[in-house]
Amino acid sequence: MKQQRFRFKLLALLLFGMFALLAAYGGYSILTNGSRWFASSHNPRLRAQKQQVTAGKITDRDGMVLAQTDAEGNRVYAESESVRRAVVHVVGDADGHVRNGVESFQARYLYGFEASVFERIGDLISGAEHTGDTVQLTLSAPLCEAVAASFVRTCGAEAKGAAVVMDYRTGEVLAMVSLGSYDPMDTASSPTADRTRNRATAGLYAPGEAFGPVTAACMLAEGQALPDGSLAGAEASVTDRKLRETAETFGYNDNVLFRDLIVENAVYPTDGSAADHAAGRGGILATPVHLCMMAAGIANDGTIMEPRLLLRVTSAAGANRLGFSSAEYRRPLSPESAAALKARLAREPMQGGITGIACVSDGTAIFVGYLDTESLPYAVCVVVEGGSADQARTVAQETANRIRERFGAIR
Amino acid sequence: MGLKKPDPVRRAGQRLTTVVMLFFGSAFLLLALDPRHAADALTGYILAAGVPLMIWIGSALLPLIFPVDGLMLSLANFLCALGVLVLYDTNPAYARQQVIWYGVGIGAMLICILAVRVLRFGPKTCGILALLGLGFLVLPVLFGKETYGAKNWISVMGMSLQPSEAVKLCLLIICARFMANRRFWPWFLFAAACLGILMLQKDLGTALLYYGVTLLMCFASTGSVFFLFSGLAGGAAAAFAGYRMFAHVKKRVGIWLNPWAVYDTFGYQIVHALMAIASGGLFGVGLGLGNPTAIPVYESDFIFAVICEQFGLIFALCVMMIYVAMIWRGTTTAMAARKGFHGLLAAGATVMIGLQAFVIIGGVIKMIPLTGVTLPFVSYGGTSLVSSMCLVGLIQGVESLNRDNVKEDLRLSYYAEEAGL
Amino acid sequence: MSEAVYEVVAQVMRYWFAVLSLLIVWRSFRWLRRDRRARHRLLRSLPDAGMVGEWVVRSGSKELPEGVAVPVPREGVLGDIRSDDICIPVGGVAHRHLYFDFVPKKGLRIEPAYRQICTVNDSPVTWRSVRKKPVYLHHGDVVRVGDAVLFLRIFMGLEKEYRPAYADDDANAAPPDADAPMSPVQPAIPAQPYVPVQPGMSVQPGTPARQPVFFPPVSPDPVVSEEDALYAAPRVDPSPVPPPDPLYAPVPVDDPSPRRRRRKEAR
Repeated sequence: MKQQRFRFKLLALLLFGMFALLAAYGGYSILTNGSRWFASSHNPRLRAQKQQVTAGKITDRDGMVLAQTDAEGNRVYAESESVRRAVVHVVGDADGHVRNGVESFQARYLYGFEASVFERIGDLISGAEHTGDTVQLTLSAPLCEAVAASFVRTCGAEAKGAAVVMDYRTGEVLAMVSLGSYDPMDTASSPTADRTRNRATAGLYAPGEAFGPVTAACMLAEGQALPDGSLAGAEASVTDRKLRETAETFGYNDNVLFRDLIVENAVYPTDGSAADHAAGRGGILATPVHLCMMAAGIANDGTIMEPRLLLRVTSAAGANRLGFSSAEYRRPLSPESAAALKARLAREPMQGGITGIACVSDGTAIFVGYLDTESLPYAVCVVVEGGSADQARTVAQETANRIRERFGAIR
Repeated sequence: MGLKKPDPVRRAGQRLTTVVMLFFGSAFLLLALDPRHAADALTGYILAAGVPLMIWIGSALLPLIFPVDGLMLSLANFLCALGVLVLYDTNPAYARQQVIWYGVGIGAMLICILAVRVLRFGPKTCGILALLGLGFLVLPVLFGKETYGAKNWISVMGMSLQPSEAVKLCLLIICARFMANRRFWPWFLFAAACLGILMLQKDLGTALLYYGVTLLMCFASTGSVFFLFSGLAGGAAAAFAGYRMFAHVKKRVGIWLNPWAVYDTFGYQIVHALMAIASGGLFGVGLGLGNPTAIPVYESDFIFAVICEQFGLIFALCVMMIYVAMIWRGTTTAMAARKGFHGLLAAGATVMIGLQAFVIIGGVIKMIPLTGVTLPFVSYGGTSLVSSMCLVGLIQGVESLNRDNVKEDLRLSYYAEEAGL
Repeated sequence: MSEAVYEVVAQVMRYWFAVLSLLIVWRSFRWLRRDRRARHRLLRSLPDAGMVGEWVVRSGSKELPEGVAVPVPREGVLGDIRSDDICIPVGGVAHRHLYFDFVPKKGLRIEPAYRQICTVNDSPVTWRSVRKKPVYLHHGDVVRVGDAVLFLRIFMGLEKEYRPAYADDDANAAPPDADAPMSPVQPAIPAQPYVPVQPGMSVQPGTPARQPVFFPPVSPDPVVSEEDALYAAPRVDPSPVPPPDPLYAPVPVDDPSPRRRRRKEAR
């Protein structure tokens, strides 16, 4: 009986442990995934709320309105068609063609879910209509427009690809453009899946020579000297396991859960040869956002900042709901290694004040790099499907010029 | 009997009952005022008065007549009334039926308390129970209708009954009796037969529950680690074999791993549950607001998701703590029992409630694959509610026996002291 | 009530419900804790709670010398390890030698474990023989388990036939009335004063079965575990007041917590 009593206690402890696990798991999964589940397009609560609340505005960093609700309750987008086409994949649209655009992902702000009780009471008393919050993005709409125009000019009207510009000190995403695109206010035709896809966050490409910095980082970690030739040299003498570990410090194989963005995971496969992997092939896949983050990490002395899209969220009455905050994502390199890589990259032939690698991999042209100027801390990644390295480089250079024009004056 | 409880405990009981009554009174009143519930407002007002009254009767008057355990009864009352509240929020017709079953459940609980006190549950009684149990369990295989992929309901006079919920009481009594008597084969054969029939019915959740409870009771009574590990290994092997052999098990595991990928076909249940939980946040969307009826099966399996949506995560955590408190109380009762049979009975009932709550909450938050068990006390379903109240009745019966033993010890020691010894 | 107003009211009430639920959980756990303390206090004041009798050791070992009385709970297992309900650390006793179980109006039913045997009043009892015919022990029965010889005393008033175990027992006193078994609820108040049995002393017949006995053993008792100490703790002086309600004895204002009191007593 004594032993039986003791075992009853054990059973109780087992059950307590199970419930503790339940609570911990539930809390953790809601904390990390809650906002995504809530913002899912299947959620009928969002649709219901849309009937009762006037959706808030989405603006770019300078205040240009990218989306708002007009007097009749329809959702209208930026005035200029070229701006609309340039930002549609980030902003999203009312019909939900674009997955995970700001329109749906930030629904809790746009549809007033974050309003405090006092605001609701205030609205009730004053009889004002419920309006959602204004979401100010880090995007610069004119820059996005310029990038898209540069793409079309360089690669043709039917160009497909993506470009990402990030501030590598804070993680702000200045531009995120995906082509082929469409006009969200053109209700005549329904866009194809190819046009609504955000290639910047969901497009997976083999980096090719653009994987060079990761291989070089691995070589530096092993104490080897960097090769004189291409960084993604075939003579890379690192084991696949070490290379994978280095890639994972850069964010490959990580189930990324960024606060403001939904990005596909970058893949470093478990099988394949080291030689292939060192050359950026053999199953390695990354999104343009990942590649931009890699360049940002090198430029930022070895620290990769998490990409942030929200600059500020204010309520309709003007109260500040969310300010900008930056967060560190990974620290794959020490400042010394980053400096060595930067010195090495500076030797690549380049013009237009932008340092980086331009290459073609698997029929896709990729440019990844950062601006030379210290006062303009921006990393750039350009991907052109079916294009040449020169095209990618040209788009990047024109982007750099535009950045210099717009932001060089301010800083 | 006839001795008044001194103040500290009565006050503790009163304080808890007051808060519970306040909770339900305000909640039902709020819902009755909801313009969306205007058609059923009368039901709401009746419940706003009636449910606190039932709770008060249960907590204050019942202990004066029956040998009940105040805390256990309060906790069970809270959960049952919560079920009625959530059902009234989503579908008032269900709430009305649930109240009737709540009354039946209280009656069944009292019968179980008296049964434990009066009956000895010897091997012959257990034999009869075994035959009745197996017979009842086999009915859905022969006459039942298939719902949600499992064939475990039968329809009797317009009511839907779930025999597996009732037969788990038989399992408990038979296992407790024969394990206490140290006879292996009777309970083993009965449990194996039940499991076999449940597999035929494809009721995997209840099978898991039966298996888990039997295994843990066996470990508690024999202490044989060999049995425990071989049981666990056997269970794991069976699960693995089931995964390999049966398509619907594979489907369940696939849904558990990535429900969004199969949203259009099978995953929508769990996806809606997760969206509802996420929409609730810490404090919930507010009683009567939100969209709880968008969740499929909101009345039985996913009622926890409705609670998370309406009341928030803090309240959901409190509900889990209520189950933990019940487990604690049940274990204390089992440990204080003087006979092995009573201890095993109380412990088995406790484990059953705890394990069932764990399995369904785990399934709803996607920690484990979803199985078709109900949340004890809260879910809509007459047999589920009545059998859970019976489990609580068994625990309270053992507790009342414990109290009688202690009273007798006190009296005997008093007499001995009086004799000057 | 309009929908807009209801929405605001419902959103304000969320916090109310959250607070109430936390209060309910808090009160429940306080009740649990209070009961636990009351139970411990009660066990302390009833050292022989749940005991139906005791085995007096006639022949034991160095760790269990003669004269020690080991209390017998209502149901349990007898063996030579500490976690058994009755620990008999004598040679020949298995880890789990004997299962016992008190059956009211019949006696202490024993069942040897698989492949173990014991002797009751010089007749052997095996695990197989009890299946055919259950064995009930009564007050005065002598059981030989391994090398240990134990003499059973039952408090619950079951005196059938007195069977002296040793010839040199005092045969003066008449055996109590064998035809009047006492019911468990009616304790027999002994007429003669109780004489505690010292080690070495022969057991008197007619010794009252009522009195719980714990004599200090000759050597420090190694068989008493911490849990048994709960039962074996010295009793608090009784007051001539009708017994209070079981679990909820009135609490003196400055009652120390069970832990502190145990430490106090240990000192």
